[in-house]
Amino acid sequence: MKLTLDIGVGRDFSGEEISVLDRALRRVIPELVGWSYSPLTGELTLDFGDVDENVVLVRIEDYKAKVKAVKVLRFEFMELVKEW
Amino acid sequence: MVRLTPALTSRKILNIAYAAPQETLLATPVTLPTAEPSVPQIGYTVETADLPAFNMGVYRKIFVAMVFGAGKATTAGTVYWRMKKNGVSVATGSGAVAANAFFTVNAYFYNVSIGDLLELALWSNRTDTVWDYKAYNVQVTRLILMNKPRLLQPCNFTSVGSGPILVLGSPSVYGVGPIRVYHVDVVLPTITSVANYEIIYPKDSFGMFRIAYGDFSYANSGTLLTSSSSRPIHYRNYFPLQIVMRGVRGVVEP
Repeated sequence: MKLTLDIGVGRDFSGEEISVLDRALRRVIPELVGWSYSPLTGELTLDFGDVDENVVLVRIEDYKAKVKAVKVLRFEFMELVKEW
Repeated sequence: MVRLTPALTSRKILNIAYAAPQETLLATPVTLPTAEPSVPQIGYTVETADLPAFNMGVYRKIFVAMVFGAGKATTAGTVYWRMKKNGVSVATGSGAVAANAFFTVNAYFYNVSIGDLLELALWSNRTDTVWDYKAYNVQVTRLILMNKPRLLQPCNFTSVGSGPILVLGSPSVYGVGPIRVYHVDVVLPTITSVANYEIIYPKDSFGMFRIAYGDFSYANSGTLLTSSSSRPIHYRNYFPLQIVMRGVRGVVEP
């Protein structure tokens, strides 16, 4: 289950900064399995693995605030997609 | 004497042939570094033979390259990755990998051209994580057959396939993304098999269809998947193998 947020087109991260970002994300979102970020599109995708989609759906605004996102873009569960 | 132009073009049968994925399984796994490597472990240069081939000229097509890198963790840890296109960072990410689990980074490069260098770097926060598998394949998305006429009546997806089909290692499929067909940039219900449409008007944004992974999701991005038993574990896309259509002349763009 994946939630994609727009955090703005930003600068690229060095390898060390990626480690720092990874720790910061996992500190505020302990249930996070993985993430990806494209400096080209500004899209941050949070991967929650195979958890109950309702658990993530009710917390979308919380996740948006935690990563200081501009906008929620997409929620993907299996091959179903909800777009904003 | 007046020569009339028929309202409909001849029947067009577009066949799309996809190249087989390039796969490599290393005989000896290589330990991942604990910092980002200056030279990515995995790299492919896009060549003509890698691209989907068409039996006729196509007005617009966008190619999506998929690069996979896989390995195994001994101690539970985090695997980091970076995608580079022609030396420029495209996307970064990480994923947690359990002890003795396999991981596969699925990296999608949107809009690639012949000569592009596509790279994937892997590193870990553990000293006992290894990689031993890489693969590469290219698919097509947002296709527009003709600029004029654009209106297609009908437009039938008469053959649909899925891929990439990876065979080395101990592969498994995490999911298969459906085709999203578009009419005037409005998405229609997704398809996974043959489908017929009375009318399709492909516009510039999305064309006739979009593939799922690498365009609709993860365009110039990627994800790390894990498995207790499989490497690679990856997404596939459904894609058209044949589209049969006629163009309608003299239609004003909607």
